[in-house]
Amino acid sequence: MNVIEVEGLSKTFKFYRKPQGLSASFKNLWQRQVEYKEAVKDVSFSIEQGQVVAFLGANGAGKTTTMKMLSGILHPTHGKIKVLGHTPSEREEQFKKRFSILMGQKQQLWPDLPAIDSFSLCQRIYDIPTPLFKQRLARLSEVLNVSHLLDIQVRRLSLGERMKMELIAALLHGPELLFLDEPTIGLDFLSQRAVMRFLQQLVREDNITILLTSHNMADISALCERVLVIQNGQLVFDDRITQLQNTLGGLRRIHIESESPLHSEFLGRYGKVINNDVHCAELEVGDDVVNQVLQHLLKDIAVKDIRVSAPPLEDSLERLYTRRGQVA
Amino acid sequence: MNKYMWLLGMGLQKALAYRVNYSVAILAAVFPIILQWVLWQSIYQYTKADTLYGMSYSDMLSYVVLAALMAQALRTGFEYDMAEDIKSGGLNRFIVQPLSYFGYRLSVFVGTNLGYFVATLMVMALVLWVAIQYWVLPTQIIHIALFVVSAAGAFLLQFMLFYLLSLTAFWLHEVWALFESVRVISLVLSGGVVPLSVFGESLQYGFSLLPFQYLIYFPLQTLTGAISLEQIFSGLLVQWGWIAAMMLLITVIWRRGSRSYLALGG
Repeated sequence: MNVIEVEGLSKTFKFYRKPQGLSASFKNLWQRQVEYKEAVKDVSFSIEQGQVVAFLGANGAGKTTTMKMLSGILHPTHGKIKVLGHTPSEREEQFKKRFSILMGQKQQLWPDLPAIDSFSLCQRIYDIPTPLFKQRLARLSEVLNVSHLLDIQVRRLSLGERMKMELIAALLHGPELLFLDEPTIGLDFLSQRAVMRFLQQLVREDNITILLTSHNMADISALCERVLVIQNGQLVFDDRITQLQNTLGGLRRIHIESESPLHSEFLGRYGKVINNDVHCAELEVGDDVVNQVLQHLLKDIAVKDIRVSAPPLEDSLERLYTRRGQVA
Repeated sequence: MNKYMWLLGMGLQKALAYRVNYSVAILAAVFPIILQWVLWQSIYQYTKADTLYGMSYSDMLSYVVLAALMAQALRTGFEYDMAEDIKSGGLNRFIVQPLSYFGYRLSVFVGTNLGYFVATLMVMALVLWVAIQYWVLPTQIIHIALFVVSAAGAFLLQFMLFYLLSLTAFWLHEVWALFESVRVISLVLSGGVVPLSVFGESLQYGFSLLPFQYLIYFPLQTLTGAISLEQIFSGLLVQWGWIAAMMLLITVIWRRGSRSYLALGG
């Protein structure tokens, strides 16, 4: 069953431009330059129940705009959206009770009160029966390891603890669909992993559907099976995460450690030198010539260690962003 | 319990978390009162008049003390939160959750101000008792009862006024100056500084067309029995009429504003 169905989605924003200087400011008082920006252009995709999908793109690519349209905050200019069988822009109560959206910096907990008070408010807002509320709260706070912090003023909690509390607040009503906008932004490594492990568990046990944006590639490779990449408002990639590395020219990285000094000029003959620390270097080559290059290297260099790996996800993305950037 | 009642309780809790702030504000109200006391004492002594603007010295003193307290009880502060919500996308939450923004703001306002309002009313009761005992203020139970109704109306009207004002944040980027100017103008026009009779007949007529006098002047006139029961009832009608009118205006402006509202950020 498809939880999200999007067809030909577009969003155009109207905005004003003001050239530099005071005279332009005065001129703007009665005559403003109106411009239009197509934040999202003709995007189509669908997401099945229980899928975890990463939504990637550079800043301003249109990720958040799309999420806002999916959750009903913004009206689309063109196109059709069906989320959980509802049209989000109609903002029906029934629809609101079935999903949750968590936007990095925008908090719903009251900083001056303990988190438990905000949770009780959630219970009222979403009409959660008390036994179910208690059961969910106990489970969520235990898994996230924050049971002992529930009665402390939220502003006295650390950023990581607060984020976990926000997650609990977003999940108390048992949403079937979760939109996460940068859920681990500003968190330390341990908190990031705790949140990610928790989300994995949630998907496994509750068959919840998640659409998440993040700039943290570790999050994405840990959690998501599928990746949507949006660039300049257009969907440029929609496939499995492993496919992302392969589609982009099929490159491989060769890491070499050697007894003798390595020369960039020499290595450069076989492929692109990513870095070279004299005894340790990294080389990027096409996957069709990997074998050939390896043979040459082993013959010519006193190799201590050699490894082949896929380039990091960030590199694939960078190539994807810039490649499309040039076309657009 | 209903979600809005729960919010009211949370507002009250939040206010209680800042009880020092609370007491300081009440103490701060004492200074303008002392200032007025000194001022009116010297005015009455200097002019040697029995009544000024139709009020005796004791009438005037009871009025300014009660007015200062009333103005304190009607304090707002949510307008800045609202402007922030509108500017930085805090409204998004209310679009994606089954919770009305107006209901949220009203409940929290009533909650945060309730303790304050009740505390101030108790101080007012004390002042009133002093006024009746020493300054021979003629007040009857019916006036006190009607005052409570008009004070509740004033409370709601004040909320509506600042809610309406906050909606300008949909179009304006800097709202601080506007908020502060309206606060000062409203304080004067509502009779929070001196009774409106000081301004003379024609100006007073002009003020009667505005909603402001129903915040402080009218409730206090009700309390001190300065106007007839008939005037009180027609005044209450106008006051609640203003509340209804504001509500209507808020609905219309909110609809226009939220249409132009672009959820920012990201």
